Amino acid sequence: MLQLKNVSKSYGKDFRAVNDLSFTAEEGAVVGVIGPNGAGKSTTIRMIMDIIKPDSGTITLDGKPFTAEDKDKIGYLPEERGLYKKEKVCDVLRYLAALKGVSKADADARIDKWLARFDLSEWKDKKIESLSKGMAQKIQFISTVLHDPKIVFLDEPFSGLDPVSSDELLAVIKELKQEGRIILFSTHVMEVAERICDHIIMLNHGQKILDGNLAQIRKEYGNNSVTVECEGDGSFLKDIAGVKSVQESGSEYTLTLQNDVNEKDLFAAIAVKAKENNCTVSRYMVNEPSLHAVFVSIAGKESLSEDAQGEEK
Amino acid sequence: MRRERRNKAMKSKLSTVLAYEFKKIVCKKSFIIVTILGPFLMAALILIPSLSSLSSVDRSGETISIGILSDGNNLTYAVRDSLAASGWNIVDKSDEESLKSAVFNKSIEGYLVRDGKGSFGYYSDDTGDLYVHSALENVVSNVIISDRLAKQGLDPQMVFSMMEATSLPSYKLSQKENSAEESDSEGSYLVKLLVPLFFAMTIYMAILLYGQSIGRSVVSEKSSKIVDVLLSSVRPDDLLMGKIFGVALSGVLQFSIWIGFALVGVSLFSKFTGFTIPVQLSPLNFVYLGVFFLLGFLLFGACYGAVGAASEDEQHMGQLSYPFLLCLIVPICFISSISSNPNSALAVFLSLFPFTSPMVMLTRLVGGQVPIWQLAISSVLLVGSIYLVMKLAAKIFRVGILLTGKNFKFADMKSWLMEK
Repeated sequence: MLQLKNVSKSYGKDFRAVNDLSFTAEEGAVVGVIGPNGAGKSTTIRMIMDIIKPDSGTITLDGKPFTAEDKDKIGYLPEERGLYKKEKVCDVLRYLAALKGVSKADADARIDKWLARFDLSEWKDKKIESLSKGMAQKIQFISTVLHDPKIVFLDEPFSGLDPVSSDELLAVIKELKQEGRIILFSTHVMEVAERICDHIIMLNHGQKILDGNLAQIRKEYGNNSVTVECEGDGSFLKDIAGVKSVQESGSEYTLTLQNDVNEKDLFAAIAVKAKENNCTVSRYMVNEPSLHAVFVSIAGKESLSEDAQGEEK
Repeated sequence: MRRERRNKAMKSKLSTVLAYEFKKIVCKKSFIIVTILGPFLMAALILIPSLSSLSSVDRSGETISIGILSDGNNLTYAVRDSLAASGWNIVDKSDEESLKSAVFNKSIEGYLVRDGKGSFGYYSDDTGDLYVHSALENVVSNVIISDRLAKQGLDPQMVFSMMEATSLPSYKLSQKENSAEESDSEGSYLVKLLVPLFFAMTIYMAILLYGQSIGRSVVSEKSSKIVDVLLSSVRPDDLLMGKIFGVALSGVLQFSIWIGFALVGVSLFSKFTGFTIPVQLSPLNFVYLGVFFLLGFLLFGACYGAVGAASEDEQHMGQLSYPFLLCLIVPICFISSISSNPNSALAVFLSLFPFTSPMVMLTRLVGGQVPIWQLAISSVLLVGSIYLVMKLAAKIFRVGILLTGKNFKFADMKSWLMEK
């Protein structure tokens, strides 16, 4: 279990990169650290890896503070990818594995296994610069997991990958999760986070603004709307009890509801009214809020309150 | 126990970086080619110009034809006889036109004509041949001076023998052995200058080549972003040190091979020509060379590592490394004054100041005795500043290497150094 408690970090006097951040990440779960650019994701990851030291707060692994040896238990795929361009694939992988304390024999066996897994075996003796961007990215992913790390950081692992490669990688990440590793996943693309994360930590301006599992978040930040698709005139929809407003686009109507409306009762009411108005309802959907919508609603409020503070000063 | 294990783990990481950096340089084709071809190129650079300049100046072997306008004067006859006696081929003509045409059809190189002031003029289509000119001048002025002496009733032979210059041989005293060795005066000054210059240039080149390669390597890791991955495995200090020591080792390997080549070359050269280098290239000098090379290298290597970490790209690194470049150039500028006066205040100061001491101390050591206490202080200062600069560099490295897209300002340095 990886635990951060009240961690803060400032650069210089004015810039607080991370402010009083606390969260835990359990084994066998994918924790998404999401937020816009500059939210403090990279700083957080670098502090966990002991590249930079926090100004205050503690970071512990299984209740104990991090030691130099724990560095070997971390695998890191940084957002900005880079490998020695002039070197051979196998040499770079061997070096990075050796830096994590993997013996040469182990490293060679694992390199062969992973290259085969990603269908890259024939590139073993080629130079990095001859690889395509997607291939180089897979090689870098291999370097992240070669040493069998307990904690895996993946910073935007899917960017630049084609759909087939993305699915390949997704399958591998699911495997890593089933093997009981702690997986921290950072992205600013909310759709990607929705696909693979069990737990979401949302950061903005260095502060945690959301912490919970996806289902909880959706429930909590549901914006109470349903979408109805019907053949015929749907103008009756706005007269149904509990509907605040209706947005029409073609045959699709998005209904914003009042707070205490039960979606099932609403459906029954709509079905009755539709019959009266000679309409056929072909689709009825309760809208779950996207992470994107949740983020915009929270971050939007935050930035508003900040502006207000600015004016007070 | 735990700490021990930790130390061991750290050490092995440093050596992993060291081995990788070393192998990366040494296994490159360009390194192998330069290491093997370098000495031959160097030899060619030194030998070809000196050979070609020798052939254009020294013509003592050949017989040179010179004309002289005979005007019945005794002085003219005396010059003619004197030239003929020292092996010149003299063409004696009484009209200047035929001498001129002889010059143009190359049967003579030029001709002498007596002028009204009791001396001679030399006429040629190639007055730039310094050898001919100075040889002629020698003979002509001897004849004229003898003539003047004779007119005053003096015996020219006697006067010349009385005027002969005496030499002042110099002897190098050594405290260790109770002997005074003659360091022969002719050419020894030149060699005394050349040997330290050779040592200083060796260090200068090594630091420049390999120091910059450390800087470049840091900058490229920084700009290619691989540094994030490296730092997730290795402490910044270990990464920097491994790099410096790895590159230093490859530098030591290359320069040892070169010095080996040079020693073999010199001993072969002296075997065939009988020429010996009149300065003691004692094994001790090579030990000093090795020690100061390594120390100087580590110091500047750390500097370049820090500069690399603080810069955006190679061009920016070039600008930031000017101060170090200056420290490297200063000793080269003063090298003749230092080697001719190895115990002057300037020489002592520069041989103690860590950023110039590697080169200057070697120059002084080759030129003469250096008090042990100065050697000790110089080494201690050097080792101390290596330690400090490495600490400092590791700090700058730690913070600077993660900052991209932001230009380095000296004001930032302060806040970087405050980082824990």
